[in-house]
Amino acid sequence: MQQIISFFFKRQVELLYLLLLLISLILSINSHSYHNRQYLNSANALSSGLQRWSNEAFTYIDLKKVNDALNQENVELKNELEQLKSSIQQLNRVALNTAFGESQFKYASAKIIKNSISRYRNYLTIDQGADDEVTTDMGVINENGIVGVIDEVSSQYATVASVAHADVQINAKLKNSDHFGFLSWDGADYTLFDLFDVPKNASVAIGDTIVTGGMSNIFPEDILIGTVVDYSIPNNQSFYEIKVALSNDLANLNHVQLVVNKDQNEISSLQSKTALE
Amino acid sequence: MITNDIGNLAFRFVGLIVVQVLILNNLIVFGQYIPFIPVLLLFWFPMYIPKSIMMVVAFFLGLIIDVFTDTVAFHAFSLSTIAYLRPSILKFCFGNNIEFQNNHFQGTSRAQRLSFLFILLSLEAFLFFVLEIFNFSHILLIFNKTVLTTFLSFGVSLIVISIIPRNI
Repeated sequence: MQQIISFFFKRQVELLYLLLLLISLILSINSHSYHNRQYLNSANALSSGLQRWSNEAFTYIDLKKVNDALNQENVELKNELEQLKSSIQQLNRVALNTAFGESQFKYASAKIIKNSISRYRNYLTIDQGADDEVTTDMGVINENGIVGVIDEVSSQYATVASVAHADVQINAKLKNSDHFGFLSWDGADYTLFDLFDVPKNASVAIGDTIVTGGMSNIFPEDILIGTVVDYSIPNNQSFYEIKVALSNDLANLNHVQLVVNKDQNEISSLQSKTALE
Repeated sequence: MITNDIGNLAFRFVGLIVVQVLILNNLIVFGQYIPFIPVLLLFWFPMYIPKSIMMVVAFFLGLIIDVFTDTVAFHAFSLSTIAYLRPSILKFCFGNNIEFQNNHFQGTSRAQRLSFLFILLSLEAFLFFVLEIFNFSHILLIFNKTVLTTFLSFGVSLIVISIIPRNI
């Protein structure tokens, strides 16, 4: 017994180091499955409060840019409204008896209080949380395209796994041909992404537009992702490897829209039932 | 003397967190590199404070910064590992007699001090990116991020060291 006590006493520094190492490794390894970051994230009250305060100071400087972006978006929305009005008039004229149901997707706005682009797994923090009916796996977009997916939610804040997060994969398709694949990020340049699994019979050209596919419960179809800047077909492979330049500037984000899919639970439970069978 | 040193250390502990979180985390160079300087606390840490206390202080310094930067415990891991290895790094940079001195910078050359700082910063960056990326097929990415982050942090650290008064 005395020997054991003396061993622990002699080796106290090594044992303390092993303990600290173990704590940090357990926390870190848990975080690699990106839904497991329960406590140590910036959605907690202390860190969010400080980030919000610092962000407000920096946001003030950017007000002019935000105004311009809002104006631009307003113009686009007005144009869209006019197009919709004329479509409705045309439909009324042909007197269709179709009843239009409630739309599957709804949007809510949020403000980014923290953003990162320099990490291998980047996260954003927004000022909306469970009190505002934000839940995990909701899509996040802005007027320039996709931004990310909601990861953790606290009562007033939520963290978003950015599209520039090495574990995030997004269903995407070529706008002109509907061939789909998945978009992922290699952790290096946050403006360039990889699109995999597009079959080689699809016609791809530099400058083609990439949009979200309709096979995800997270994003509506046809939200802009970016444009093709390079592509190749590796030897003996049936799929393209496509480099996509993101349309969104992830380093310059301020306001975003959250995508609420009202059928998400229904679709997910149906899919998990089918998978079990 | 000791109370004064502990006061200085507490001031630097808080100061490094504030500078890192509010200023340096917003200073992104080439779109992906952020200078990281809290390892400076281990550069300044007095020799007579026991190693176990230094490791715990380094761990919590890292953990607080991790909470603000969404990096879970990557900084906590790297800073506590550097605190554990610091005596060996000190001997490597300043020679074996260093362990008998109270002030580890007394009678040392500028080149020795700079190499000590450089080793601390590069080790921190390397351990951080190994744990963050956690994929050895990306070894080139780890190497690239380590080298550029180290040089960037080294430049910022020299500015901070030259600004901060010696008795604070």
